[in-house]
Amino acid sequence: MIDTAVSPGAWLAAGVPATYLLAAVLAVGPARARRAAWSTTLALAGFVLLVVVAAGAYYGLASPANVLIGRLPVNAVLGLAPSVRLDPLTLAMLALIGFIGLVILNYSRRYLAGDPGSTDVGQQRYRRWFCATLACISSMVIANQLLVLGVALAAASLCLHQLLTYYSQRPQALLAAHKKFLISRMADVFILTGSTLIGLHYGSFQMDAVFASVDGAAFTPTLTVATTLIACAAILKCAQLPFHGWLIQVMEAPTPVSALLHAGIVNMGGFLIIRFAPLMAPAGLAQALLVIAGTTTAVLAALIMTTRVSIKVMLAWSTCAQMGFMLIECGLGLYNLALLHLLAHSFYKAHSFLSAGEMVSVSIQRARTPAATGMPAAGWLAVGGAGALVILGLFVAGVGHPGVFAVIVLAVASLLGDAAGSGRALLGRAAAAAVAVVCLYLAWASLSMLWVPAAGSRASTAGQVAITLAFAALFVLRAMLASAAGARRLRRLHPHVYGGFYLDQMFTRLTLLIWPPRLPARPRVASAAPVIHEKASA
Amino acid sequence: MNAQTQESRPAAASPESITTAVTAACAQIAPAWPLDQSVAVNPLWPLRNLPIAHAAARLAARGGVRLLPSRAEFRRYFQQGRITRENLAAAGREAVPECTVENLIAHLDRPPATARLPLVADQIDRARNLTRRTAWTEEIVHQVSQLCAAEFDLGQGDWPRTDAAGLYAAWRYNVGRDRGVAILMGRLGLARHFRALPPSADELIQTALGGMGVPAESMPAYLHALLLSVNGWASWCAYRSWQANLHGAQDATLRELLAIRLAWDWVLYSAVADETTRCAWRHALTQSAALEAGHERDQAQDWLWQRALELGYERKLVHDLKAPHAEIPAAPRARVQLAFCIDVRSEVFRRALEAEAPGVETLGFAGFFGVPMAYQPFGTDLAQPQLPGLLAPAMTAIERGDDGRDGPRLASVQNRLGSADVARRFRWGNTSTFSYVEATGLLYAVKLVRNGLLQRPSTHATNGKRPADSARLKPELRLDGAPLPLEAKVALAAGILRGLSLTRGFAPLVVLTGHASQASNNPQQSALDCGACGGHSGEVNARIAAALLNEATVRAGLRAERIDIPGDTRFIPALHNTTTDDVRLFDLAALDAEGATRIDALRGWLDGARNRTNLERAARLAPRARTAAAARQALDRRARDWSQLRPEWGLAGNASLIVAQRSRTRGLDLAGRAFLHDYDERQDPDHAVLEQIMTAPMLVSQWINLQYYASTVDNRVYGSGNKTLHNVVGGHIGVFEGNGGDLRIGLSLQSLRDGEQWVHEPLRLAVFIQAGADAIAAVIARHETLRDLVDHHWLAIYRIGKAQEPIHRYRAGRWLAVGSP
Repeated sequence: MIDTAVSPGAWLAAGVPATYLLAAVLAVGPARARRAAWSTTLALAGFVLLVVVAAGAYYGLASPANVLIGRLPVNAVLGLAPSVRLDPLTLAMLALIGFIGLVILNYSRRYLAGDPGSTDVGQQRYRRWFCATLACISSMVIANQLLVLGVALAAASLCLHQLLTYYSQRPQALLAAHKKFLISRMADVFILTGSTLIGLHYGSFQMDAVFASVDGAAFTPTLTVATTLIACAAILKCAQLPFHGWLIQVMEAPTPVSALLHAGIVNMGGFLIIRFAPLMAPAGLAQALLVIAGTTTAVLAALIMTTRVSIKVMLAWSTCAQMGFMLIECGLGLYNLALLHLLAHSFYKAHSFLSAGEMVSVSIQRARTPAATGMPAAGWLAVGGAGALVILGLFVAGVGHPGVFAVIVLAVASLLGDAAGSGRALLGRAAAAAVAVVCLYLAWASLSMLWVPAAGSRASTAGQVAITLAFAALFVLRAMLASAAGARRLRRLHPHVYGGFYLDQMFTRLTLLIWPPRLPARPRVASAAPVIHEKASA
Repeated sequence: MNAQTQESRPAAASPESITTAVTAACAQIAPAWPLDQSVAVNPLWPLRNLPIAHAAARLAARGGVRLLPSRAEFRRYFQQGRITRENLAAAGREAVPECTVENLIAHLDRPPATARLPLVADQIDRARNLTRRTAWTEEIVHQVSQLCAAEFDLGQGDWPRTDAAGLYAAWRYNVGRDRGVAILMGRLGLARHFRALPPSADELIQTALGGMGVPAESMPAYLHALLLSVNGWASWCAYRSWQANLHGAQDATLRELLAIRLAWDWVLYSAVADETTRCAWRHALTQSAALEAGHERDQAQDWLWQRALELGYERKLVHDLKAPHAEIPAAPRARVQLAFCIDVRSEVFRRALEAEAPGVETLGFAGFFGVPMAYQPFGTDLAQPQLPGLLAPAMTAIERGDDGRDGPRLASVQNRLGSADVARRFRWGNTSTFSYVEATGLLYAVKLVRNGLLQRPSTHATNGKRPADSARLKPELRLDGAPLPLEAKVALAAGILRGLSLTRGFAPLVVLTGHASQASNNPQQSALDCGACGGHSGEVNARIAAALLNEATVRAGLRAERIDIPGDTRFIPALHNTTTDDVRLFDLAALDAEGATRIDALRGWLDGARNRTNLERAARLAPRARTAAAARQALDRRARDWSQLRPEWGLAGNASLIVAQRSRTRGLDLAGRAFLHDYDERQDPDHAVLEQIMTAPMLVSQWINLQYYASTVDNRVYGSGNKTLHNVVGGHIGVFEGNGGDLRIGLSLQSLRDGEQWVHEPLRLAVFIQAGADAIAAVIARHETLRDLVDHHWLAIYRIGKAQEPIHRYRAGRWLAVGSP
């Protein structure tokens, strides 16, 4: 049972966005002041992180209640007064934001120093919008009032827009940012409408009050609509197919912006669902929607990822797939695993983007590696068969959520398959690695239960089977692609996978037709020939 | 047929003339090396048979390229006093006597000509509103570029390629099925047209050129313009063809790329353009020669400004070289001789070292030390060239342990490499990536702390070796798999010493110093490494050369060649870290006590020189570091910092090559702008070494010089743009700037510009040679390449005489005395 207490101490959490806001408005003057602004910003960001970590430790050891609420001493209608919420989820998210924010700010400072594409003043603008984004995101995380949460999320997206268009002379940057702008505004409308419906239904916009009165058995159509809207918002915010194009194309902004987006902002769809967990758990339609969108995206994006030709774009498709996986976990009510995934993916992706320049070393190492013999089809069949048996066992025994556990079984199977194809010496190592991976995973999963409880609901067996089959299909493709012969069989599939199944092209085409962005003028080719103006194409 | 129609619709070209035009167009693209060995390339090398002004006009007319600094930039130089009125007057006098300074200044107010030959895609885009939609040209480049990256992939993707039928066939297969561009541009019928394209590249070229009625005289310009619109990938294909040629083979990929780009134009011509657009385009085609002539007229005075900019630098250098500062007191024997690479970064360090230790002599030589080899790290599958890009490796350096434990070592190295690869596949595999992230993602927080907050770099042992292995392994030369025979060794050793002009007067310690840069997370690091070693560290070459020169049998053989190395002389290999200016010495195991003492003294001098160099370099990299200790700390930090896009300035500023004895330049502050190659005419009676220097190191310097020049004056075409947007393509082929677009070649803006202005001054190389006038002229006359470069103003050659004698410039077969400022 979640126990909630009102504590003025919770207002300390509001210090986090306030500090970032302070950093964002730091006065900027001559060069000396600009250098000082960076140093002060980093000091403030470091301070935030220290305080959050200390607060987390204190909370873990000596918290009086699971959830601390800070309220204003006013009695507003419908509980519209802003309030803050301090619980394990808030603390985990604040620690994540504080840490990633500090690392990326520290990186950006030197990365952009002497940037030939911007000025010193431009870099200050960057620093300010970056801090403003962090302020909005952390406001959203601590919000206990439904509308404040929605507004903070919208504001974060608007601040981020300034970072995405940092190089405003690049048409592709503006096009991608424009697509994101449209999708985010759609999501904002969904969230605010959904929140309003919820608030009106329960007669209060205070989250704690709403969650306390949720009754799974009495789920009205209004709530179904509201939760579905929120699920849709999460799907849009997490860049699920076919609304993923902007996420892939924001490589038109400096690397640390990509890192912030992929490690921080895009996760917020997942956070939204985890935050609304008490409401979402009984919402069957919303849950189903998340599972369907998540599974489709995870499988297709993971497949498309393997055909990408550049490192950052591959990382972006990977994010898209990972977000899909997180939404599956959300849809299955495994909020603890979803939070684990959110945190783990953030650290992982921030590091991957920031160190994307190491790709050359990685690829040279690959070129130096003596060629693997590869495993024959029979071997893959055996590995796959063994995996299938284990998964079947999970289903029969009904252990946990077999749909999710099946994924790790398939992962281990592919690891062993690859290692066996690279020589016997590696098989032992790979087996040890497989055990380590499974143990680590189980350890994190059980630790996460202490942090955020999973919902009591259980997804239908049909859903579990569908998820398992989708990932099994991915495994089969993977095994086929391990050999040139298998790849030949999949040749007809390649152009379509390579084209991302044209989902983004359709979306972009519609955008250009319905609501085109204003792109920077590009020099037209002038020729000595007389210019003839007429309509060349529709 | 009357004359009127003949002019508007000329007869189609013959198949033979088409083939010739295609070959000629392909021959105008210079190669671009991959990121792991990014040798500096002069991207205008294939145009050297044209006067530079003509080449510039041609590129402007065909690709919208500008081969000169902008007029605003010239104005800035003028206002800052970098170009003086005297420079302008002198530049004017050299070319057109009637040209006045006032005329030249007024010229800067005129807007430059921008007209160029349109492709069909350009012609269609002209009538479209590009502020509201994407351009055909952009989408075509993107589509071609993505396809090329997938086809040439060197380690990004995991989807194996299945057909070896060539680039064009792969493209045709893909474009006939891929609906992406058709949907995006709202032209769903395009795939039908693509599927109807001829199956081979050659057929396509014939059909398309015939179908569009491209007249024979416009064909070279049009085909070249097509290639320039995908110049990055064209350069990559040219690299494949360059490599094939080095090994005596052929590669037609560039022709296939041309066919692909032409196919796009043809499909647009037949399926998208209407009759008016086609007419306008056909008319524009006929204007190509006029366009070129127009650009040449327009840029004529810009070239005088460019010359004035160069004169500003050269005049001062001429003055300094005429009056040598310090003739070396004829010391009986130098205590140490150190040979460095000719690289301009060595100049700073050599000057510092000589100031630190007057008893030390330094020499300049191409950093691969004349060993034409590839290097294959122990237990790996990849041998990479360790020599200038103009040459093919003749030998291979392999590694062998000195402890007889190579068997287990091989297993360990291959195991580590194999495990890393399996781990990579687990991380990126489509089924396993989810579990990888959930199981290990949280641990990346530790990595973020290490790399991001503590500034510890990731350590990649990309060759699978542990440090203990590296200490035990020694490089060894192999010729066709067998150790080098003695005669070959002696010949190689004699070549090295003669090239160094070091055949007598050996010091007890001779240090052969290769160089390498140090950076973290930098895809273009190899551009900062030793270009003479194929964009790698010069360590292996130095170790191989030193070991060779220490061999007793080799020395005995050298005596027969009248090179007598004293018994107490030791060659020591070393590596100069150009980022931190630390110098590491190798292979010191077998030194006696006296040798060890000498090494101790040397280490002290090197450290002092490092302090001086650190301070000098910090002025531009860390201006707030005012003490040597602070400068060292700042530079060390930059080298380890994963967020540092500009660990060092590389060869920015390079402007001259001086081929002379060091005594001529010792004591001069050349500001890290001069390549220095030692040459002593007295040791080279038949001028064979001079010829070698002018045909190898001089060309390497010119390649570097023009790479910097071209990347500066037109970074869009010959540079790789902003590093903050770099996105590594195809494992280690190259980079995109942002999402996609063309492959980017050349140097990034961060290597050339600080936040406010260009740090590199684009100057054509000025070569100063201390040798007889007739000898230099004879070498130029013997080599067509040199005649092209000199007569067409791609570089300038000056002759240094005896001290106080005037310096002469070579112009059209004559030597003209150069006045001092």
